[in-house]
Amino acid sequence: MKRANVIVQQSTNDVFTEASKTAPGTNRGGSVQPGFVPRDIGFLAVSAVFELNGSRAGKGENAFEMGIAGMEAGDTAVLKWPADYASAVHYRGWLWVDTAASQWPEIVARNVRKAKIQVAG
Amino acid sequence: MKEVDIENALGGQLEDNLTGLPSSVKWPNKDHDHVKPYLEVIFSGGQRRGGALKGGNTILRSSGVMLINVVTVENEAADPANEYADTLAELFIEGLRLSITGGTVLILKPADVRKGFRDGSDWKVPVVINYEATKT
Repeated sequence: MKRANVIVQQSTNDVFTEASKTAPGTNRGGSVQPGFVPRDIGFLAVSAVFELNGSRAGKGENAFEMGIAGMEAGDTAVLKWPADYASAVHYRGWLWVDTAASQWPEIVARNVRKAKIQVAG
Repeated sequence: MKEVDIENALGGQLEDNLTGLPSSVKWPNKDHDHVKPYLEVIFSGGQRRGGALKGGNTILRSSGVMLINVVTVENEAADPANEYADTLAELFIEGLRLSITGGTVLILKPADVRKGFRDGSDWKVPVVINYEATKT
């Protein structure tokens, strides 16, 4: 497999995994934890939808894992939470999308270092 | 390089430049009267990279997100909140450097002004600021 594809797949998997971490929601005795998806009495966490190049490729928690295996460099992968209250919950301080996205440069740099050692160019 | 210094530097950049903005700020872990309009500050991230494997034993970088929600009354015009958000974004321009003890906080990109939304009896416009602190 091309090194670039390995980096793209692993980095996408890592950032989506980071964005999918859950913590008990405020209705389940938890408190707002920046960087986590609240697992509460609604269906927010399981509403996750994974799209690859504009087509739905998976639905539910961690549904991206299988779809990412077919990714190549240049593809567009999207993970989103379509629950209509997702935006309000996100900006109340949970911030799982922005927190994960802020780690993207470091995630890619780490996977480039690993791929240079483990994967032929 | 400490997280408290990073948050204080970013918070200070806001607190020292409230001209043209709501003067009421809801800071993390502090009580607030929720009288609108006000600004709500939330920090997330603080992911750190160290230097121990390169022979050092210190924090080299720490990156994260500062969220400032502009909170106004819902069912009124959206313009005031959007104008406040634009003013906030101008306080955290790309490339801004804030000095802290043992390092520098750098604003990595222009602050995002996200679309406003209703949240209960509030109208919120989020401003998202990405930063990275590096050891000097």
